[in-house]
Amino acid sequence: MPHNSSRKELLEALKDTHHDLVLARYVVLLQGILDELFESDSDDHTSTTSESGDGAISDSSMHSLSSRMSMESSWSSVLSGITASSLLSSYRHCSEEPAMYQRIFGQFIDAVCALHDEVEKSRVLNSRPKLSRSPQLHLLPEWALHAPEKFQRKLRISPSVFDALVKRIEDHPIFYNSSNNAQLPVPIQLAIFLNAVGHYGNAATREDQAEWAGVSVGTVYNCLKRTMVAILQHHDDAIHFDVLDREDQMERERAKQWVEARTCREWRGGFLCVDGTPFNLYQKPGWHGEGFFDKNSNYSLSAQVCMFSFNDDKL
Amino acid sequence: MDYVIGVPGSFHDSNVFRRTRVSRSPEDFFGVGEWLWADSAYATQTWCITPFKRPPGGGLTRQQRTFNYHLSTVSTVTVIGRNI
Repeated sequence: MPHNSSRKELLEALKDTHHDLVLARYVVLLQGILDELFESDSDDHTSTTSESGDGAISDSSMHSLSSRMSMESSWSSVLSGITASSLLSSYRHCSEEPAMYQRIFGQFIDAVCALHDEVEKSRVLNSRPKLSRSPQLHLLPEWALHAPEKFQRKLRISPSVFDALVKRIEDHPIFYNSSNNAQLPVPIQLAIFLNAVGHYGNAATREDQAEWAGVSVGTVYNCLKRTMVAILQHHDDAIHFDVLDREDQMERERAKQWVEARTCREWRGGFLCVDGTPFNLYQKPGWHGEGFFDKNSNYSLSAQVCMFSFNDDKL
Repeated sequence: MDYVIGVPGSFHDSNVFRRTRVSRSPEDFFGVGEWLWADSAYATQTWCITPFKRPPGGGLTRQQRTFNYHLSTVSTVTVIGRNI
């Protein structure tokens, strides 16, 4: 069975109440008119029967209304000022004057409409106390200066690569909105992204990321999404190789120089490196699950990366 | 440079590697006297240099060990995800 949000349920209940109220109002109006008709020609025998019949109808409708109202009085905590029971009692009190309860019905219907609007507009139905947070993001700039190995352990890349990445992605339109509430700065969004993709298992839950960064789970999700979009934009700039392309030739030459510096002149031809890594899956896949079982007894997807054989921080 | 992702984890590294562009058309990447460094899981090719593997029941010669030692200085930079 699909789950309905409490907001939707509340709105539907209010709509039903509104509908019932309008119906009851017309029944009462009708009864008033019939009463007047009956009073004007009270000698008529046929109208006596019709009066008794109408009375029965209006009695039952009144009964259903009052039972409805007693049920709706459970919403009385939500209804500020006017409660269902108080309205009902005032309705009974002045049952002598039809104009009076038409007005009271009008007030009640207006109140229900106002409440409906209020529920529809409000962003938070139940306010909660704010959780205390202690973000650890402020450690990163300090580590970048004084303890780059700690920075690298947390975000899996060195501070200089981080800065270069920020420079590449910070102009992407996805990091800008036309709202008065600007997004988090791009370096923070990138840090949240890198911390998330650098961990797996229990440490990689969105809740954990949110606690570490001192933001909400939804913000973590948004940061991941935006950063991925911005980085994938550079896919074709990063993943390319053309023997005739001048930039690629220069890059190849740099790789060869690096290899030569580490080994000897004869080995400079080896300018590419390859390695693979498994990406563990959350659980065994439903289709052909055993096919994903790897040599480390995990269910995973495999990846192979070929890259220039140098370890250069300057992107 | 080049990559393959999304292959089931039960495939051997060298099997997955065969699906890369580098492996399918090495002539697009390597000229004469150019090659790629790999670890011992991969198959040796004229354009793919791997370390010597100890044969079952045997050992490596001194020369082979020296070769492996120097190879490790260039190819370990790419060991993914374990560089810390």
